[in-house]
Amino acid sequence: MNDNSQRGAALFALIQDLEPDLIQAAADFVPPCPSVRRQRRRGLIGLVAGVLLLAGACAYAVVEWSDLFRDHFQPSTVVIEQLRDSVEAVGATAVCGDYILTINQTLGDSYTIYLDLDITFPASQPLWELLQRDAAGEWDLSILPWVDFLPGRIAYEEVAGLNPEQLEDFLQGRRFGGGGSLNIEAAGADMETNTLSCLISFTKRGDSISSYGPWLTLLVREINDPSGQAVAPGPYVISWQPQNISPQLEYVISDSGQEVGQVLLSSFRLEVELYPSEQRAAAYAAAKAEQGELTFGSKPYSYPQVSVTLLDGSHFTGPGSFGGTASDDGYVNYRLIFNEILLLDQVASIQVGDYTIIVNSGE
Amino acid sequence: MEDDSIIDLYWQRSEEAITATADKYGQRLQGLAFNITHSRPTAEECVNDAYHAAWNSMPPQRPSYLLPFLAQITRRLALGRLDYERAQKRDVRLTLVFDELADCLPAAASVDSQWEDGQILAVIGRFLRSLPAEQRAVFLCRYWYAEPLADLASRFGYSQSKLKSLLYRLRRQLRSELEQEGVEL
Repeated sequence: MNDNSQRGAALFALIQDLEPDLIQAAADFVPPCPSVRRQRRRGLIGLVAGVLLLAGACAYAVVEWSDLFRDHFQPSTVVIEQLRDSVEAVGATAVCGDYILTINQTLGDSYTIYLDLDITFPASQPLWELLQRDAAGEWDLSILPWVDFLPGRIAYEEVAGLNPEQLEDFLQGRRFGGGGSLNIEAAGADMETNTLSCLISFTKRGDSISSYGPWLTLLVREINDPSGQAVAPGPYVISWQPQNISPQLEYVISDSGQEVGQVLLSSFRLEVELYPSEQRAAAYAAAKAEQGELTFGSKPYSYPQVSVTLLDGSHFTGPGSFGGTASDDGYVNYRLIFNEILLLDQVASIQVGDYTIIVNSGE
Repeated sequence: MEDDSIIDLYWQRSEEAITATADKYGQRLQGLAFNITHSRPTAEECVNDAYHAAWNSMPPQRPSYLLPFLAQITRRLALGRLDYERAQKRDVRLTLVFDELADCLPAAASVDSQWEDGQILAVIGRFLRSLPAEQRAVFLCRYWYAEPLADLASRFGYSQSKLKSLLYRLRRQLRSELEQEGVEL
């Protein structure tokens, strides 16, 4: 047996003594019936059409988007109507010692969530003393919370007063597997209520947020000034049950009858996964032989040309950030997080490298 | 029959304990032993030896989870019977599992090793508990129960490509966890 197999065999033997409840749970797990999965995929695609028909046919109550979301996304009336299940008026508040966290609204789906978050400081710590004014007299919103998203429900009492090392110990085994992308910006400050408003977004990598259970927790480790000094020591937490729903299109990419990858498209993100293949591994080996050591960007399959074409023939210009991984055997995970909202009924096709996926012929 | 009742039979030294165990878990234990040894006669011997070991262990033991208790014995016996050289030459299925698992391990040169098996197990256990239930089950069915990819794909309703991709992602995640902890095996 070669060295690699021997190392694997050693690990196979080592995990023999995993805790029995894990082994029992794996044996007891009953997967959803395959036919249900296939129906669900068709159902998701059908849901788009269903939402659009309803939007045109009748009037219904929609949540009025918060000023923060309106300022950021500039949504049209059509967007507000079509994403009526994506926005949720949460109104959750958590008192964490002298600080108060309030989630006003959330926007997103089971993979991506935007938070309209308020942090109210104690009266003894007026925001006007923490913030500077710029030359135009506007407040320079330069203090930011340092946050994590965690699955499950955590009470403030569980983390109150923990120092960073203790907090790390507490967080062991509580994080999402696979991580995700996080973006934080301070969006406003109300000096009368001593409240800082923040727009925070989180996109889960790989599996969905909801697959970890109904609860989601925002952990504010501390709030920092531009020099990295903590102006509010933390930690603070707020947990709630997100209800944001948005249609998602799922496509399988096939080549010569073989399933070679998949594409997931929602109003908030595009995720492309190409499975390991001998062809891409060979392309990698050839490029390496020609160019020497390859960095991520120079790998022959690192960045498949990905674009979303709309029904009017234009390309969607919303992608804001991308991330991904590519390995030597040709596995590619490529993720675009949009900074504009994409209306799925306006999508004509998705291009992934040489593959074209027709979404809507426009007829 | 409930597990507690079967365990009671062992404690009462009733030979029905073996029959009840075989009725309830025999097929599953045979499958596990076969996935490792790829030999029906050897798998049968392993399972029979496992029943014997269980008979000798209860009492004094009273396991909280009977299936994992029996499966751990069976798995250990099957691994002990495995002819690694033969497996390498003739039965690629289990060596595939080993090769896949090797992906999880950090490069030996990049970490220093002061780790006890129990500490590594704790990291792996925490990693598994952080996964959604379905992914955790897929990982363990493949790497603990050594289920063939085709069977696993069929049971979970995945294409084989999708299953390979999921397993690949999970191995990478585990490797990242182990690297963060500085683990070497």
